[in-house]
Amino acid sequence: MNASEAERSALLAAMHRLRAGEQAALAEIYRATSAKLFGICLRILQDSGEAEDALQEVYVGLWRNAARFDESRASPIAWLATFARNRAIDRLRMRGRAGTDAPIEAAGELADPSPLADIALEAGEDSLRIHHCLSLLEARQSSAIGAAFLDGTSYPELATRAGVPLGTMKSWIRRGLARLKECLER
Amino acid sequence: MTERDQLAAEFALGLLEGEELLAARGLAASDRGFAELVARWQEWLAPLLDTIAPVEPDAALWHRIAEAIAAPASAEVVRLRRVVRVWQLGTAMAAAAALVLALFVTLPGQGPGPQPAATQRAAAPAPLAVALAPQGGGTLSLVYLPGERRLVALAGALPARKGHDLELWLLPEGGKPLSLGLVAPGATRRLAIPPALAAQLGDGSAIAISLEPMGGSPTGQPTGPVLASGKVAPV
Repeated sequence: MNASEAERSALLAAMHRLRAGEQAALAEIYRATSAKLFGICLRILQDSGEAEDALQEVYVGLWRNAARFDESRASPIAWLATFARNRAIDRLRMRGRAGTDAPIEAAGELADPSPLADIALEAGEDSLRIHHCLSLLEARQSSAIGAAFLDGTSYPELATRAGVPLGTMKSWIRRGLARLKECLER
Repeated sequence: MTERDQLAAEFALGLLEGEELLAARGLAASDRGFAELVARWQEWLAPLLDTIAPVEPDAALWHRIAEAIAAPASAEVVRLRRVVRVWQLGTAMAAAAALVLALFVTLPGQGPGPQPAATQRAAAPAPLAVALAPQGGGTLSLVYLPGERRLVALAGALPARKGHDLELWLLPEGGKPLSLGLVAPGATRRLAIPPALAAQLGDGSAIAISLEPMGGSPTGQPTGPVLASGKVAPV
């Protein structure tokens, strides 16, 4: 999502060609987006083999279902990033349930919720708004919400890391989400 | 924030597990309003993904993808077999299976990848859902989980009726209504469905909601007006 305007419009054009069934368009989309999406999968899965599998599912899924992209709702990169994140979290949860999950301590540090400098490259005020609204929350709320979204951290993991009961963590997050929604809708 | 909003937000974040996850998944598939709430959360949050640094994947990955596209059938069968094997590990896995599907259906414009839907149905009975808009206002979403014989009644957006309870009924074809239990206006209630009732509750079953005295119908049959009815369908 740090693409320049020219890159964005080239990507959108490639999505149109993909929708028309042009396989070369997929290669172009892959070149333009795979590093971004791989970064997301790797962050969540913390394992390059699994992140590659997730990424493969994203692009094969994209090839088969390009028609489902709705450009009136989202930019291609935002849509693909969301798709990659969802695939990675799905894998993470499957792994957890299969009993082969890594110990909680190995699951990574709490996300830093502060915006990075490069966010200014993202066009539009939407992206600024989420950062602004998160910054208005209590630090423990914004870091928990950030960790859930960016690292795929579950409620029980979040509670363990913060050293609070599960119920407390749930109410922190729920109160945080309620305030976040108020701010985002303003 | 209503309970529904909260569920949508937690679902979009990937925080739900087990029954709540299944209920949210059912809602996302059957209730456009709920799906829209989830999509909005995903859109609001997506810019946060910009804070993750790009990492180049292994160069060989593109070739794997190109091969998978060139030979869709065999690659897909292998993948599905693997997924099914994992999902057969236990009933807890149904939640994960639902998550797979949920994450697909909540993507803007439904998102790529309908394949897991078929797999999920093969691995566990698909949830059945119906949304009712009872007379007097509000909405009630019902999601039935056949594998667990559990009916989740999401009544967060249903106002209470003063001095009355609201009771759910299964309407078997050619039979008398069977009570499924009371809903809790303003809250989510999980109703365990006994095997005898569960045997009659399937795709296309009609469910009604009636106004009853406090504590439910004293006769075992609906005594007050039927406020709404509808048929459940797989989600």
